[in-house]
Amino acid sequence: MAKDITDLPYKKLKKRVKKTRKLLDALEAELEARELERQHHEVDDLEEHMDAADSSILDLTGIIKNFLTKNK
Amino acid sequence: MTNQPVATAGAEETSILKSTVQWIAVAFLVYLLITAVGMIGSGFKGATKGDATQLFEFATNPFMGLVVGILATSLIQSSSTVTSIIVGLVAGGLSVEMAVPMVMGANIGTTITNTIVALGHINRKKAFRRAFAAATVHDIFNLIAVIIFMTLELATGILHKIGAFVASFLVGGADVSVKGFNFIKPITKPVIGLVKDFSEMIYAPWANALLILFGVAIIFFSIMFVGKLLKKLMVGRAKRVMHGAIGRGPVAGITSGAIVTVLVQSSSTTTSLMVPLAGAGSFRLKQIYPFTLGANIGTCITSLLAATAITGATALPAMTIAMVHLTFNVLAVLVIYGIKNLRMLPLKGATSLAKLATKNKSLALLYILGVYFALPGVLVLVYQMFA
Repeated sequence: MAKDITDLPYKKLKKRVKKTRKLLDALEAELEARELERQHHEVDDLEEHMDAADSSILDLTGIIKNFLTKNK
Repeated sequence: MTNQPVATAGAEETSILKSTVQWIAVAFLVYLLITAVGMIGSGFKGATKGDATQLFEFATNPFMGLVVGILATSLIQSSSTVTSIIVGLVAGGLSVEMAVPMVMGANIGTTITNTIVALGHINRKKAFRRAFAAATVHDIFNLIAVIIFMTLELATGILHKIGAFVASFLVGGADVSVKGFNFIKPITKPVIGLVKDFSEMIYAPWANALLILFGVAIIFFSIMFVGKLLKKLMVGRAKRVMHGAIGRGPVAGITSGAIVTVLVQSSSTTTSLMVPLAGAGSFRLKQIYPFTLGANIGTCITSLLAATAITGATALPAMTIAMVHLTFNVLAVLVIYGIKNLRMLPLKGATSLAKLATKNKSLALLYILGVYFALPGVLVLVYQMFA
């Protein structure tokens, strides 16, 4: 690979950089689009997330008990 | 076939009726909240006979006020409830200067809820690291905010000066609640009187204390049920706000956090619902951070609402403390999030803390017990020893 690059003429190398940059931009854009899509999807399930977020101070005692039992 | 539109129309009618009933219940609960704040003010005034300083002498040390705010909010798990009670206490004669650290303590105490939610992920390493960071970024931000603004407040009184200045525009003379339009007293006075009479009937010497207790209980339940109802009623609107903020940067994040918190009347709900989303890897810490800051601002709506309950001579200090709450949270976001070096502190702190807690899970438990209970407890003991 390194040899390939060193053998490449200047113009071709520049062209390849341009092409790779374009591809990288497209990949990043796709990645971001997928991330945003996932976030929109999660927001669609907001009711469930709100229910899951319900916690009380009593949960803390349960978590501590659970933790202590597991680590005995 | 023809029955289908009829059935749909019937379901729609039932849904409209249901939401109308729920909205009426919300209005009634808000009325109860306002009335309960008035009860606390009236009971406190009666109990201290105008000299509230004596009763709250322990809180003359601002540090103790802070501890009271942290402990009360950690135990009740609702900063709205605690700040509304503080508004009632100020209306009853507690000085604004004494109340400011309590309000700041409420800001720290309220962060316990999302940290408990993060502990729910303790058995899944990666998810726990992300969830714990998402929860503690809020804790660290609020701790830094208190360190900066409590120092500033003690040195210059800047927060309560700004609060008093803004409140003076909203509150008129001694006989009006909201400038030029006194509508609160006539609607709350009969109920407050009724509960007062009832308290006297139970045990006359403790009537004022009972009135305060009833007020606290009513605030607690009204905020709890209003939260539950608004979650159902406002979830659609909250979704639209959040969809609108996705991919739009930190200002949109802060704004949406504030709006969603106003809609559901609970910063704990707003900040906690993001924790599982962070745990699942759907939202990054950098995206959750501004959203939780918005929650700090949005939660001030309840204390502002509570302050409208107060009429007469104490209306101005009551509105002042509510404004101090808002000013503190807005300035904290502007200063800490606005200055890059400060902005990065909660992010770096939360990330490091989450890494440590993932390696040694008992650290996570020690952190929560230490910050919210042991540390305030030790500080109370130290204060008692030197007082």
